[in-house]
Amino acid sequence: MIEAYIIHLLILIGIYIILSISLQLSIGFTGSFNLGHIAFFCIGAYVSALLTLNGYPFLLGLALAGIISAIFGVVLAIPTNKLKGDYLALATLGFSFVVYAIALNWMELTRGPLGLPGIPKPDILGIVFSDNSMFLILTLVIAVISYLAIKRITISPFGRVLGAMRDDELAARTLGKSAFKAKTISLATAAFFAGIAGSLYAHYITFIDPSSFAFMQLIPLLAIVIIGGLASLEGTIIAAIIIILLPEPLRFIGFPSSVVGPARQIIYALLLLAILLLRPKGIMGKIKLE
Amino acid sequence: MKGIKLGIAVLLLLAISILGVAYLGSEQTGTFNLGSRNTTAREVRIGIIDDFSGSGAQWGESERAGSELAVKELKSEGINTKLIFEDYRLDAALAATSAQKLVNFDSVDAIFSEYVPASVAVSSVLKDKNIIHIYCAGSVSPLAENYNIKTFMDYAENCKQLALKFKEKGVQKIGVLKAQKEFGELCLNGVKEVYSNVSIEEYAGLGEEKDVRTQIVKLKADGIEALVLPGIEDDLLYSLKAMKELNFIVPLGLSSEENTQRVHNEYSDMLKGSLVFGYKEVSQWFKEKIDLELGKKPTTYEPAALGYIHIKQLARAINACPAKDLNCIKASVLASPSEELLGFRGFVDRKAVFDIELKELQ
Repeated sequence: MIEAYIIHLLILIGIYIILSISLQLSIGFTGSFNLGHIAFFCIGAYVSALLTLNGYPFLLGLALAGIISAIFGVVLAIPTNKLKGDYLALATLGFSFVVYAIALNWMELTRGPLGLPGIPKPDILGIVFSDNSMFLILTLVIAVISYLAIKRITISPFGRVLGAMRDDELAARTLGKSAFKAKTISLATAAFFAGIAGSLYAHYITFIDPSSFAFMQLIPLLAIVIIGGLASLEGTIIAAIIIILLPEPLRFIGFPSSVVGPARQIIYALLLLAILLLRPKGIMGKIKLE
Repeated sequence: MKGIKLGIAVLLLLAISILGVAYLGSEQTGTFNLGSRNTTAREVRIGIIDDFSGSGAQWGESERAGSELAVKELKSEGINTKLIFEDYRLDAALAATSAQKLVNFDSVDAIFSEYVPASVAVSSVLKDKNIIHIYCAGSVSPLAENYNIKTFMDYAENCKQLALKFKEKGVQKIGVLKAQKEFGELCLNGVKEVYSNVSIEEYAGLGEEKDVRTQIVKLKADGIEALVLPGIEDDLLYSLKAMKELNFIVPLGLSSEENTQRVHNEYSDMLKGSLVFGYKEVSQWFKEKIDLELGKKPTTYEPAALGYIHIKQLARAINACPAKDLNCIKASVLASPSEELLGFRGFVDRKAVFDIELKELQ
């Protein structure tokens, strides 16, 4: 019985690893304080869910979840290209709110707050991933591929350009590097993987509604990136595991029923604070968050 | 290097704590609730997945009080019932995790959940588990799987009745202040069945948006003659405050769960002529018991009553049937007799039926 519970947690960890390492590409490696990431997660989830609910194959839904999210990444990158720091954060946050509002109000497409129930489990070449163990394998395979792809980007010459943009954009531009191109590719790539994560989330939970992608959902994601440490994929993975697993032991503590909710949240928050106090740069951070 | 060591240490600590707590396998003795069953006497275990700390917490707390009152009374019937509460904060993934823990560790016999994100996510976890699931949601149809049973009001139908009544009273132009939640959408659908042209403004709902003056200004500008605004007590208080400031007084269409004593105490003059749909008012004896259970008055007694009714139904059914015999348990629950509390009339097609009143406030 314990296996089913552990498998469930591992699936969530896998999804959040994909989501958080893609955000790390944007924030930690490119220096773009992107608060629109949850919007790409949302777009990916809805694209995949809508396609499969209308009879299209899961693989098509998965691929288009990533591609369409990437397109929106490009769309977001164009007007925000010259923005930095807080202004970029606000602009991308605005994008999150726009996507959330569309998900909430475009009733004919998304059913608004009624959500999309009955999202089918993945079906790849006739194999239905209805068993959670199989879904875990699928998630881990995609997580590993995502990690390898993003890692390859970060250690490539293009990755060094991203690092240069992060550290000193002006210097990088005077050396002939295109900031627009670098940031756009980075944001589109991050959005692509966030869309993939969204697809996996939708097909695992089998129900999505706009509340699953509200602004508050960005908080644990940012916590993973910061606790993992900026510009560290490995730290991000460790942090994702910590953030997902941290509240679980609290479920087994027999708090009085009158305080069960708030008590767990307070302890969870205190544990997060303790981690940050012990390691202000994050577990494996290479640069400071400014 | 230090970072890697710290990360690995934290991970190991977490893994050990989860596995250790799970495998100790003893009954709850003090601080740890480990989920193994007391084999000396039958114990009915019911998981409750609700919002105890988020925007729906006032509902969750009231439901908890009613459920715990039910457990005390069940004990006097010789039914030993244990409730395990999980807080899901209106997040579907958290609801699924809670359900996994309740099913796989706590070995619950039934789950009682609240609102759509939880109910749908929980339902997918319960497939092939022989666990009955009663959930509160404002929608019409129960979830497809036959282990699901829906309770609570039908918001679309009740708001339609509100709209019909307003039309009967001669209201030509109606407005809806729609919560951006499932019940808000359902209510709007009900009103639209009666009025083809509805002025609609939106707000977050569940007490998340305190300032609705902009919406009220727009509705006032539209010249509406009545306003339907389902929500919770906080939503209604914020709306009435804005309406009073803007000197905009029209009859309202409300649900009973928001039409609380506090609302009456503060805005009784603004409520004259308003229509309210909802359950029969709970009896005084029940209110006193819930106040005692909670240590204070809840904002609404309805979730307490729902918890009280359905926990008793579940516990009696589980106690009367062999372990994990879903068909027996479901049949027993669905055959539950009617009750005066909330005007419960029984189940039809896996849906709880209640006497819903529509009354005009004087």
